[in-house]
Amino acid sequence: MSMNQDVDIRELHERIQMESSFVDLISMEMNKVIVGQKHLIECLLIGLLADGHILLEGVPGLAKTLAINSLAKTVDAKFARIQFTPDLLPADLLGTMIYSQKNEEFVVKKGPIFANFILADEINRAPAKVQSALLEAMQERQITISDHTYKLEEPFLVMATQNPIEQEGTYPLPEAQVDRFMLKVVITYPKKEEEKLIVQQNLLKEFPKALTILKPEDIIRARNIVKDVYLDEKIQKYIIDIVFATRNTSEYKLNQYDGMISYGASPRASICLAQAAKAYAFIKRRGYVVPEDVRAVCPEVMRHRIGLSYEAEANNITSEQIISDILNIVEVP
Amino acid sequence: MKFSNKTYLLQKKFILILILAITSGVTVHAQGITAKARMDSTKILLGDQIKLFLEVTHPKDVKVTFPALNKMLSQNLELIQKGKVEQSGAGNNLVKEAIELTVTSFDSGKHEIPPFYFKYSKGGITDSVKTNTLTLSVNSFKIDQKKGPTDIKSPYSASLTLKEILPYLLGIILLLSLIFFLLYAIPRRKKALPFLFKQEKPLDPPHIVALRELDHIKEEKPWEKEKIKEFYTETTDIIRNYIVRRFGVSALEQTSEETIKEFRKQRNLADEKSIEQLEQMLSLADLVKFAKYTPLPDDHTITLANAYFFILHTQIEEMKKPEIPVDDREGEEVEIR
Repeated sequence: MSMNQDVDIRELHERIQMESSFVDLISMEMNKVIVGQKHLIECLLIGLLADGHILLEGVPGLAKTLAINSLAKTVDAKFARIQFTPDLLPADLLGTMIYSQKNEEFVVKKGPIFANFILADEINRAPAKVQSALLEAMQERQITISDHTYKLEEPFLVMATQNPIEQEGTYPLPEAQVDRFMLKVVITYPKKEEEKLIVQQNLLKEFPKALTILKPEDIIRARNIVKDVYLDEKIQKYIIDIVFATRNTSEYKLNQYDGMISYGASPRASICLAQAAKAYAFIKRRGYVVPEDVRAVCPEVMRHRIGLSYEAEANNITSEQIISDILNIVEVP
Repeated sequence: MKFSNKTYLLQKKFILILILAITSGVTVHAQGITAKARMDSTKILLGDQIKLFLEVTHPKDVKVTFPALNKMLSQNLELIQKGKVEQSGAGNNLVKEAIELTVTSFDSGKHEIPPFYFKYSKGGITDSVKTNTLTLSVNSFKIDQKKGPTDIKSPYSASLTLKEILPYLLGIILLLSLIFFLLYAIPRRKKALPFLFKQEKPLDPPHIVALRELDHIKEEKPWEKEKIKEFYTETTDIIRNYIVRRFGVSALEQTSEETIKEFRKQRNLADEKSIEQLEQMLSLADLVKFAKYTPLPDDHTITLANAYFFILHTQIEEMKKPEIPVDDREGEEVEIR
């Protein structure tokens, strides 16, 4: 076998084999704490490697917070947990200027957002101005307090949680802001066997803890390799076809969804789909993306980017259903 | 001039009668009940029809009976049609009742229509009120003496209705259909051609199409023209299209892994060797297509061979028509018992 020289996939392949060994270690450490939820762990890794923020949705008690906490613990990096409440203010998140009597001047008191990993717990419980402050930081990766602009440290990853029930007194994230999350992961209940293990684990004298196995530099290095993962033009076309199918259903013989989609996925969706597919290929120890990678990450990347019309909601049509049908109709290269 | 007393009395009586006749010439009054007869024309040609109206106005509490009408209203006046009695208010607690009659006459001359009597009963007293008399002039046709005798004019022709035309129309359609059937349909049927539309060319079986396209690639040898990626893309597309038509597996919308999984799941689709060769071919093609992998020259022939093998081993055998044994004893007499 000989590999093409302009993109040295063999060399890349070897690098990936070497550098991706931590993937197994992270999974192992997380599996110590989290029972089941393999897909959740995979999605957290994709977010970590593709430099994309993650929104976790699931009913209370499915270990959303624990999973993010554990992932943060595996990396020797600054971790901050912010519990979003209705009385939270942007300054509580970003920081503010405090007058120092000792120095007789205003000094900056940085907020919890100045960390590598942010767990925004129950993000939809805080008012829009707080959400907006966080989401702006997510996009710009910098904070301005008074006259000073502070760059956020890399890796900077926001993992937000929200539960789909108890909608009273919540502030649902606007579509434009939800779009800034690369992945929206929906967690479901564990299986019977898994739940049995969870109970057993929680009855132990000491709850298992995830060990710190990585440094922030390792993550940044892995991210650079992920960027090098080869994405062929055919795969790019496949990604664009999938995204376009959400915008123009009849063109892709999905006439059953005419009038069901109020707005389709944005170009940011195409970018995120490509980045997430690359990260998935890295996790699978490949130096190139195959259609399987795109299909594997598609639901998480697209589900929060398709706006459903009232007609669709009345007919109990979900964005997952639409994505599944799109994947079944768009020709694979 | 002197008049005798008797003559004077007679003259006075006459004037009185004349005045009475003038004042009660049109309508006849009786205790608030009036009756009237009128025509829409007083002059007609022989046989022409006119309308004759009989009207009576009476108080609401008075019951009035219309006169009984015979076929011949008078010696020369014939009743053709009788309308319904129509009632309307006439003010001052009065009611007006009227009937419309269609009459004609076949005798020329000046005919007097006698008054019609309406019976009524009021306060236990029965009496009658009569209409005025009418005069109708019936003129005969002027005969042109110079022309001499002419033929009787034939009846006017009335316009045709659909009901009258329909049998002829159906007959024509039937005749045209018969002609069409004889001239167009029968010859087409004999030639086994479709009745109206052009017969669609039947699609070749999937393996024939796939083999034909593979032969074309084999002849073209794209790998010799540095079109390696195109070669693998085309070859896998041929195989995927073949799988769609042959097995009904939607291979075009599936990844290679999903297609192989489907074959392994449904074991009856193909034997293990064929699946293995398909997997080998698709995996190699995926590497070329998505990983910029440059295969060895032998890989091209192996891929092509795998494609041929997979099609030949999974194709549906065409049913051959059983040969009918020919009877050599043509013309021989066969005894039937």
